[in-house]
Amino acid sequence: MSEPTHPTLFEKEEPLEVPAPPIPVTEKVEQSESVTQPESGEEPRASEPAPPVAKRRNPWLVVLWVLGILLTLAGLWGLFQAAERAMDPAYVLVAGYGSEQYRAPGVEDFYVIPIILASLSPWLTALGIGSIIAASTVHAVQWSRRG
Amino acid sequence: MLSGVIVTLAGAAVCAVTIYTYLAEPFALSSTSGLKVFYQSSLVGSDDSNTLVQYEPFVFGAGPAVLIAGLVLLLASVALAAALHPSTRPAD
Repeated sequence: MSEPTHPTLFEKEEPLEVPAPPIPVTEKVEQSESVTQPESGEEPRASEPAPPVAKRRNPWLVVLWVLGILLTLAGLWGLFQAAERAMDPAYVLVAGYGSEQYRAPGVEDFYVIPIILASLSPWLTALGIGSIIAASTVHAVQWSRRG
Repeated sequence: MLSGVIVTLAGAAVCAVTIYTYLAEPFALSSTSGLKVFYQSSLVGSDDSNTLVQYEPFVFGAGPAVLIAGLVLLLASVALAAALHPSTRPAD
């Protein structure tokens, strides 16, 4: 006669299988809407393919062009102003050419502004032209790699 | 690129301080100094703009060099960013 065996403390009981809670109707609708299936019966795609890399716009190239053009124009304007002030430092035009109003030059007109223009304008022009050359080089590299 | 912006701003600040210091510290009139005579500059907040003073020739110092170095750093970083952009790399 065999006695019934009871599990001891060291013996593991098998876990009971708990049935999954039923999903509410609203969640089922959301889950079914999140997966888009094509109408033609094809399998759904994970995501749309990215656009070709070569056709993306390069924002740094635009910045380089803008900086190059601005620096070149500012440098040329400074060189022109420095030359004009060097030719006629005695009077400074303060109104339009029709009214012909002049004033005596101050220390800014005589010493400070010509020194600023003469020391910065050549460098600004050189940097602007260098930026334009760099931007053109990047365009050339892009064109050669596409071809 | 950030270092270029910082150095450029530092150079501009050095230039501004140099100009302000120069204009704010004129010499008193002297017939033996040999310096040119100007009216007191109104850019430094002087109310009495009819005062005659003397200035020695302006010397810029290191401000423009720092400013140009900052611009070189900034433009070089922008050019590198443009050259390394994915649109410039060859397609795989």
